[in-house]
Amino acid sequence: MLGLAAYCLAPWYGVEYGIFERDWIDAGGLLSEAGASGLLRLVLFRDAAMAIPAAVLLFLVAIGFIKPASRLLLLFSLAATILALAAIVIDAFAGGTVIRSLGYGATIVMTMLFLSATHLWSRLGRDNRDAFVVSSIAGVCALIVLFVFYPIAQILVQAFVDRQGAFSLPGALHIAMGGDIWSVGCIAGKSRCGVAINSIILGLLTATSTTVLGLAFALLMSRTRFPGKPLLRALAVLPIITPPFVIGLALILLFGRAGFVTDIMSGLLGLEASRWLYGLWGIWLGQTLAFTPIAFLVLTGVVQGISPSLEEASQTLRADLSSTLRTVSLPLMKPGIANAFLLAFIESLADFGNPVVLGGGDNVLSTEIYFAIVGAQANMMRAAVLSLILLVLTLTVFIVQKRWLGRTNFTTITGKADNGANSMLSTGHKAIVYGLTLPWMVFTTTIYVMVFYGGVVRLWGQDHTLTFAHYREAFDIGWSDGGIWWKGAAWDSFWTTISISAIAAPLTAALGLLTAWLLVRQKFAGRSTFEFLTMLSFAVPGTVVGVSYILAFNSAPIELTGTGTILVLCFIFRNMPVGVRGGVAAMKQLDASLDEASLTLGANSFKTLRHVVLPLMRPAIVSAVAYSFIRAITSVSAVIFLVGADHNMATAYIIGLVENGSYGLAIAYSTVLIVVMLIVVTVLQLAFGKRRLRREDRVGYQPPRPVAA
Amino acid sequence: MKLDTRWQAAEQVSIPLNEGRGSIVFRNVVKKYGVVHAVDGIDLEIRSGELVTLLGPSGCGKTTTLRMIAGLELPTTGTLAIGGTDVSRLPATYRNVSMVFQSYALFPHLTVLDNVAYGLRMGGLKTPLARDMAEDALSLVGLAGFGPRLPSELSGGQQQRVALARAIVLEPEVLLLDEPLSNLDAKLRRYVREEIRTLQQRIGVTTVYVTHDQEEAMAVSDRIIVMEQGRIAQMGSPAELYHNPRSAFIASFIGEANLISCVAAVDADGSRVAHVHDSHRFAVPTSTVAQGDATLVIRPAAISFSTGTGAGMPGTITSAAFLGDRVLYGIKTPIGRLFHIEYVSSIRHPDGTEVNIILDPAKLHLV
Ligand SMILES: Nc1ncnc2c1ncn2[C@@H]1O[C@H](COP(=O)(O)OP(=O)(O)O)[C@@H](O)[C@H]1O
Ligand SMILES: [Mg+2]
Repeated sequence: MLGLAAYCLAPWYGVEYGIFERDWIDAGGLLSEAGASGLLRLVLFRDAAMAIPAAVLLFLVAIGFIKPASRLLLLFSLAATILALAAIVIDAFAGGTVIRSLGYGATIVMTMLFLSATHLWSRLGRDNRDAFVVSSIAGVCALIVLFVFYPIAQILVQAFVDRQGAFSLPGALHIAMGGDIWSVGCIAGKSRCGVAINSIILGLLTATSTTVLGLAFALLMSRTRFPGKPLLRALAVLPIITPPFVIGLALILLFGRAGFVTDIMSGLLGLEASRWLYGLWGIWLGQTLAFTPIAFLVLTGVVQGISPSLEEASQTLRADLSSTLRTVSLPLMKPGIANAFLLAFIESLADFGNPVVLGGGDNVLSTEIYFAIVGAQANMMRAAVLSLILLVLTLTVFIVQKRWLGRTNFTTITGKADNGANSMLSTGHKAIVYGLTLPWMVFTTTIYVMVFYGGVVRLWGQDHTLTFAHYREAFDIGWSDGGIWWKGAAWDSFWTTISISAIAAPLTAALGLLTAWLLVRQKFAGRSTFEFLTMLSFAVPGTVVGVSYILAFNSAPIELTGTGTILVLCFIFRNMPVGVRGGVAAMKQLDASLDEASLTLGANSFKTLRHVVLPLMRPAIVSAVAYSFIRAITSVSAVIFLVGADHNMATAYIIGLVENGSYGLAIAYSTVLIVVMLIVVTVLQLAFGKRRLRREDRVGYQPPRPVAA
Repeated sequence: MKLDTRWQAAEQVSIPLNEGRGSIVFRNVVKKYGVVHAVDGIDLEIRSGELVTLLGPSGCGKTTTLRMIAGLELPTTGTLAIGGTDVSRLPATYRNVSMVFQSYALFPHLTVLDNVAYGLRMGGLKTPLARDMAEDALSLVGLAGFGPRLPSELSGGQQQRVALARAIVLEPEVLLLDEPLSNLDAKLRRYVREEIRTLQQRIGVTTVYVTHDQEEAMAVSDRIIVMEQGRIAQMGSPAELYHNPRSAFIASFIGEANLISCVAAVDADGSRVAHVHDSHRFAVPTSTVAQGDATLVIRPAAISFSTGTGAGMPGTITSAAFLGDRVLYGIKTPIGRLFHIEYVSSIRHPDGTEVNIILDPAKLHLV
């Protein structure tokens, strides 16, 4: 009884307090029209819309005191609560003469209303979920709707609104059908292709090359006795902590007009230094370098997932190594290979860093969107239409991948310890694999050497004396009377990047893992749709996210552009699916009976999550945090639209340097970022990554049950 | 924020029967998963302090029933009461019911002592007190001194006892055990099941025990509830089920039996008989089946045979398997293939032996 009263009263007092804070600080006092709290708005300014939340809040407090509340009463208060929420939302969007953005008070009131709605729902006892689970499900859904779907809906709206602010379907169609988007002239060799066609061609090229190389590397890794496997693993990790345009930069240093290789070639063969790198071919090369490791990681799983006993069976049936690979292993890997292909296709479509650095005259969708917005005649409508096209392309591929490949999964990962080893490659196949991978490894290594080298050369192509001038320019530290003086030009964006990423990473991981927990452990109506939607946000290209965020959060009721908050939010919702996937994988390893045991022992689901699930998930949490941190630091595509004067991010700053031709500085800065990330990730892993379970590492592993269980 | 008190609001529905601590009442309980009826309308009452087993083949709904008592699943329709209180809508957290899981579900990151103390701590007990009580519970299951170890450092049998200690330390109204022996090797099973039974008798907790092994069920239970396809096929004491099976399913599931389809009839003198293939007639004095198609249950113990021919039914031995303390014979007879067990230490009748079979009418059943 006491607990119930405390439970119901404490939040409401919080609400009253919150109401009195609404817009208080910036609007200079409660009594001004703009700065008044909800209560004062009602009393002083006769803002009738404020009456509904107040009434419902009072009513809810009253309900809290009635102990055995009847179903009808609960249903009624649930309805009232939802009504109040709806009223606030409608009021925010449409009501009032002046559209004002929502302040702290409104946010707190809405959160409280939301929590009581979920609490009432769980009290209805429709299913055995407690308030925490219901709030989590509803909360995650609400957040995804607000920060993923609402912004995208804004794009949809904007696409049909022309410069005068009028609805214009023909205008939209005119842009969407334009020759600059769909022209296929380049195939005939006549003119340039449209940007969408460029994107698709590039996607196909990149997907093919990364899949082939990725497969070769995966085979090299698991089907040969290649001695350099540790090096290979390191090379596979490096691109993950490399900002996406760095490889493009290194390519410029090698093959650009003043490039290293270009010089040698023109010296040796008298070839003219050309601009071939700046265009589709260059982007393709850059993307292949950047995405092959991803394909490699995906395909390693696939290649190792083939049960050795199948291959051994084939060999006992008189197939030799080479025909075993052809007739058994490869067909089994087909869905996995297709999956890697589609993933690479999506990555390529969404990539912004490589095209912006290497694009030259050939634009792709993502860069075209960017130029539509930052270009001379900031054309929002065009950006929105292009975003829609890009979105439709990636989503189509994504849905194909989920729907079609989701079912045909042949890889035979069983819990059973499958003894026996995967068969080795035959000599012929080995030659092919080595032939593909070794040169590529050398190439990748060269690229990274270039990255480090490029940062310590005075002026690339002209003055190759070694110098730390770039580092000094970016990261100089001086002493002034007050203390450390961050003299270098990069410090500002560097600290912004680190702090924003450090704020976003734990939040991303928390939201991702919470979602994973809901997906794996809770059964609720629409669970699979929920899963699909969370994953869908992964398929939304960064450029589209960037555009959608400026459209959605530029004006009331939610005004966030130019703040650090919008960057944090953007990172959370862009990177959350990574946390979800990691969490789902880790959680599936945890026997569900552990949770259930905790519940039967009297812990509620929140305590279960805290005392049982989280401690056991520690490695997954660490990698989710580390990965979100890295992705926040390295991301470019969405960030570039969202940085403001006060909050410049490192990547956006570096892109600016590249556009000014300050390659040395750009590369020096990138190198520092890579090193910082390496350190942070290593420290995180060493400090928290180990699970203390001594002998048994397979948590809650159930021995195979007898059949008749 | 204290959440649990709100559930005290659960309505006190008075159900006439069984209001004792830990008594369980199911009233027409159905559990559906989508279209699957995992539990399809069961009514049952379990008395305070009883040990009842849920027995049945895989997929018949035993675990689902158990999980509904635990509160891990809520019934789709129907009423479930524990200790006279309707708990149909009450989640596991708020029920005073403990469960020992098939996989034991010991928290691998907590020591044995912390595992046992977990429930007490969640209930709001101070850590030192919780640990003292946990120590006591560990000694009760014979694991005093094992507290500081991690679960992974114990053998399967020891882990099982930790799970048991963790469950009983909360002094639950009801103790639930889901196939508690399935992860132990055959030798240990008999020993552990006796221990469980002894412990249950000592603390007198109402216990529901799920198993698919009829021998295990018969050894530990006060009463057995046999389930089939989400329904209760029959319930009763082990002896009742063995001697008075109500269906062929029960007869084959409880103890071993030869099942022969037959036609039941009442002779002119009023004695009950079974006709097989119109050619053979067996007197079945215990029969309660008056007329029509039925199944004749012939327990191995009802069969006796001698070599050569005689007044009984002729038969030929088709297989003989030596199992150490007994020999299992397969016999071909005009009414079908029968199996028989002889408790002897060697095969006395090789394949092909012609035998004369006598069935003891007192040991035949008709269902
Ligand atoms: N979570 C679930 N979702 C869907 N079907 C289930 C679920 N749990 C059990 N079932 C189905 O309900 C039936 C009974 O299952 P269960 O109670 O586990 O049987 P038992 O424990 O007797 O082997 C089975 O047909 C099973 O497939
Ligand atoms: Mg079961």
